[in-house]
Amino acid sequence: MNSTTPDKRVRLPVILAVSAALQAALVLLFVSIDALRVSRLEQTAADVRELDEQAQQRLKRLEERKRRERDRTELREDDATKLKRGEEEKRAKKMIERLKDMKRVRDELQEAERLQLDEVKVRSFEDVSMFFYYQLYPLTTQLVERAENQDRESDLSAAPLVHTASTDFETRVTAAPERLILPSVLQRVRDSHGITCSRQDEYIRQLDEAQKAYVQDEERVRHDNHVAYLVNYTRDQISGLLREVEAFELEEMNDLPERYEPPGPLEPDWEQSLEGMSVPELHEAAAGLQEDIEALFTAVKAADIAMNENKPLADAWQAVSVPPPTRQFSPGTLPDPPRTIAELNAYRAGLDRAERDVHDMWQQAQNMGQTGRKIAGMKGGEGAQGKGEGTQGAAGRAAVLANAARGNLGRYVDVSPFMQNHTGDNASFGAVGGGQDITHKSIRTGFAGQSDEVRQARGPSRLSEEEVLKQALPGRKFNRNSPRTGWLYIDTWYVIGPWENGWRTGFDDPLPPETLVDLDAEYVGKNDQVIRWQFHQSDNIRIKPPREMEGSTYYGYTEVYFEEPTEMIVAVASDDAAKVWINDTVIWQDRGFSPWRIDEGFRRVHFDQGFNTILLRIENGPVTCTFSLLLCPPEAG
Amino acid sequence: MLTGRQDNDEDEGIPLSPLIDAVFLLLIFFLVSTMIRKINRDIDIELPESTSAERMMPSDDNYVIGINEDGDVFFEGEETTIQSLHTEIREVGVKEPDVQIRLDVDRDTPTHRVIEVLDLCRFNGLVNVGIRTYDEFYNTR
Repeated sequence: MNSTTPDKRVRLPVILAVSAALQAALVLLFVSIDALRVSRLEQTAADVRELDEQAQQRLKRLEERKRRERDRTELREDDATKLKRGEEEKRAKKMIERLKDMKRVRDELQEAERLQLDEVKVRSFEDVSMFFYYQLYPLTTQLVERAENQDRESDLSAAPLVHTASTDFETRVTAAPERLILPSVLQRVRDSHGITCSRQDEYIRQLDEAQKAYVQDEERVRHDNHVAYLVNYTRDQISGLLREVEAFELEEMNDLPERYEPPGPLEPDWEQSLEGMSVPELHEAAAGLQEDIEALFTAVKAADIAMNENKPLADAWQAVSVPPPTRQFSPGTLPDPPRTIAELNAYRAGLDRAERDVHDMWQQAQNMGQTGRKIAGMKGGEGAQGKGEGTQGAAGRAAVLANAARGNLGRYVDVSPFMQNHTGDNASFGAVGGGQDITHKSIRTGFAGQSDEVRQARGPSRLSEEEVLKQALPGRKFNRNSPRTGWLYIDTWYVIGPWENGWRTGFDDPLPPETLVDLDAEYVGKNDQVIRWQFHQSDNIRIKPPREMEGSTYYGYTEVYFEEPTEMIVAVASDDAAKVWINDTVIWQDRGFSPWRIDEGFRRVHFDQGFNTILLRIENGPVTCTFSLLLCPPEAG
Repeated sequence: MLTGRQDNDEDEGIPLSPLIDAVFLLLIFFLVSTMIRKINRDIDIELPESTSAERMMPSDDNYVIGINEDGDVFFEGEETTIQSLHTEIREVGVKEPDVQIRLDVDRDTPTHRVIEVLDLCRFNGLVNVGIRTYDEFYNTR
């Protein structure tokens, strides 16, 4: 016992001291050596990046090698068949649904085609000549009024031109008066022609005297040039129309193009037969349906153009241009049956392309169906109703509307009754201006009276640009209780262009967007540039198209939404000429070069409940190109 | 008098077989249900970063519109065209006006394409639109 006690006493402090020393040493070590405390990378950032890149590349190579090895793996025949069938079944179900939808569109368009072509078939000689009459009347009035002005105010500018124009006109009209039915106009032309003839010597003498003054007076030269341009332009229009009047043959106007063969009915068990089809077969069936739909739609659209623009049906057919759907799938490229994983993947990708093609065809079919239904005055899903106005009504409607759109009936024109009818809301087309019914007879016998009625329709005539620019707000959705009243401008458009227009500001050569608006379509435009629709949103009333070029044509497309059927006043302004369709009805045409003016003209129009389409064509002559479209409730305008 | 019960006294105990069966069935159920692949609606894009974005639970009760750096548009993970997107969005706007739209946009997407899609949603009455941003918990670069 005694011998061990001192030993214990000694050991404990020693142990404590040693342990304290060790701990202190460890602390010192920890404090003095950074590496124990701080985790630090010795490489620079560039080194790390390089290492990272190398690692990524190694990973990629590894993955690529694995993929190649996997791709080479051969499939057993029964596995391949099973996988192939699985992949097909996955896609076939959706494709069959699309095909059934397309068949519905085909059926609707078949009915629309029947309605539209029936209308054209019974277009009469009177219908056609009446249309010409409607176009000629305001033009000849302009010419005659200018001749009378010359006489009254001794305004000699462009006197020789007026004289030549009236001589030409007088000769042609006298040659074919029975085709025009415009005795009062003919009399006025003859009178004015007499005036210009009797005063020719006087004009020439005065013009000779004024020659020197012309050179000195730039303002007068400009004015005379402008008048000369207007007279020439009017004369050209009249001459063109008269040539058409002299040449038209009713049979040619109404005949179907020889190559047109309307698609026949489908087999009764067509829908059932889809169930057993493979994906390539479904793709082929969709392509067949798409061709039928395109043919039917072309017929519907051509008939619409023929009636609304008084064109021969075959010519109207030429003007219709449906963008061809892009086909990515080719059945020959499918490895069938797939033998390796790589071939199975290629098979899958091929089926995906087929599905995408069918989707695109379905989308275009929907688009054509919607437009075709609107044209034929049918409501979607409710079967064919037709416009319900008869052929005479259709011709009369088209003639009046064409003049109203061109502004020949005044700066403010109410075209809303025609638009309500166009969408099948009313059974017969009704009233303009003072509420008088327009009948075929009244159109033929009393254009002047009718146009007076239209002119009397009340609406705005002038707008203060400054006030409108200050107050107008952007808007595309409208409801009755909207706090915003007054003028609203459309700020959001899809715009496409330029197309070459050869410095013509007419609208005689319809371009593809007039047939069908396909926001994904690509076209070859001016200078062989590929052009496509571009989204354009502006905080300015004036919209400028992209790639603004002289001598070019552009289109703008937008949609507006109304909670309930509504009438609105539309103010269109453009630099230079513009043509506007609302729900496929032309409501505005402004020909010739003219600067942008906010109150160029007004139309009272009808918008359907829901979404309404607006298409605008703008022709640019020299320098700038701009357009605007404003809307205002009639009570606030 | 001997009964059958007395005869089987040696076999008495907890019957484990049904229990194991049930456990295995449950295990298989959870394995299968968690392995059912959800439709992948994400597209291969680099999302923009945001420090102020609100974190939300991932949800399937929305529609996903994706736009990649080239401006190509995807609806519910499948590439689509602008015309088709108009049709799809119009249908959604009519049927489910309150549904959430998730916009997955690449950081290099042309701005006009984003505005175009936002405007399309708004015009069709879809105002519950959110833009997805990069989140370290859900995204990997």
